[in-house]
Amino acid sequence: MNPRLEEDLERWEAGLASLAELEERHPGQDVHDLTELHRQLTALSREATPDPDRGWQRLSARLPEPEPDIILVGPSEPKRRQLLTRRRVAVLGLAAALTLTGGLATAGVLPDPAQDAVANVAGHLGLHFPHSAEVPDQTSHGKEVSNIARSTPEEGCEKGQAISEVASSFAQNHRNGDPESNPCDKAQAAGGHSHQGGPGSGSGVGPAGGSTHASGLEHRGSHGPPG
Amino acid sequence: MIRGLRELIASSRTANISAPNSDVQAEAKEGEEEALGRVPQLVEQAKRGDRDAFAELYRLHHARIFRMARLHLGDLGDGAEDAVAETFLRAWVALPRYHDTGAPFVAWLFGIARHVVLDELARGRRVTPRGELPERTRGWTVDDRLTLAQAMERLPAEQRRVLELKYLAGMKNAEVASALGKSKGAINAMQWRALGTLRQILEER
Repeated sequence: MNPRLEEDLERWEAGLASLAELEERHPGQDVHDLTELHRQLTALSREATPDPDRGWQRLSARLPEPEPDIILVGPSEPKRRQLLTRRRVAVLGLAAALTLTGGLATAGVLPDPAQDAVANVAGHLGLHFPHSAEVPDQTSHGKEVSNIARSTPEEGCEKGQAISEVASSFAQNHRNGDPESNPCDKAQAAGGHSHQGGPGSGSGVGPAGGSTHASGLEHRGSHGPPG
Repeated sequence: MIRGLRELIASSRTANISAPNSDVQAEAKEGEEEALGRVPQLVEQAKRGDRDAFAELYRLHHARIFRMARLHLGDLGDGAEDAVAETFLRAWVALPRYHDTGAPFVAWLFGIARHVVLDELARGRRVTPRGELPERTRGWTVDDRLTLAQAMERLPAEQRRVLELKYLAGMKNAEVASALGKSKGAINAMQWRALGTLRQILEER
């Protein structure tokens, strides 16, 4: 069917054109049959139908009672609560994982790839976590301190000081005390309990050694890194 | 049966038809128009379980669904009336899930009615026209309707829907356009194309 005929039929249906006019403009197009079929179908839509009230009386007895759950638009209440609980668990789990990972990353004890991954992600969030390259190798640190303790020629307070310096080398930047001050000098000034005083100044492994050792411990305890 | 349709068309050739008669062009009565304007509100009430609102919807749409069912099922016995009842029963159950998309409510009902009719046909209801049925001079017989229904089934789905919504549901072209998501111009063209195809199918029989 050509579009021109469709347009004219539309005009005819709207009462804007007569059938004679259409037949004249579209000879041999069976315009009459088309319009007649349209008329018959329209008549079909105007045929009498039974009284709806009778049908409704029969139908209303068959209608089931509406269920409140069906009427709800959103999820029902228990489902919503369950959904919230699941969300809460997920959020708490995520927070716990982040805290644990963050703590381990701050301490620098994660394996290198993990440490780097956490440092990168934290960097995006504006937080600073050390990369693996920035974390000192702490496994060899203990050996280093032990070697100094065994091999240093120093004795007494000086030995303790040497050990202490190596042991707390990670925390050099955090020292609050005067780096130039020498605790052995102070000890000497206070009571002369130093092994540097020579054999005549005491047992050599007496209170001064203990004092030095304690000083080293105290120093490590307050500023030294773990391990 | 096609004889009946042909006769109807042939007899009208002799009449002096100069323009579509006014009753064809006339829209639904004012009262019905007004009532149809309340349909969205009635639907919302019915969704909340309001039986009175649903009863009003039933009364407003009964005739359209009945005609559609009668076309496909014939009007012997209570077949069409049963199909209407089944359609509204399913609609009542499905109504809470109904979402107003802007398309006329009757288009949604027609979708349900079509399934009901297909279910009925699958049960083996008689759908073959009987030529020996007494013919009358005017109007549609059972066989006329069944022949027309079978011819419409052979139309492309979209064209069939346009004819169903326009001639059985009594929708205006603008409403059909809204229901099918097309422009009014497209529906106008599709309507006449569908009638042309339908006429050819009827001629072939």
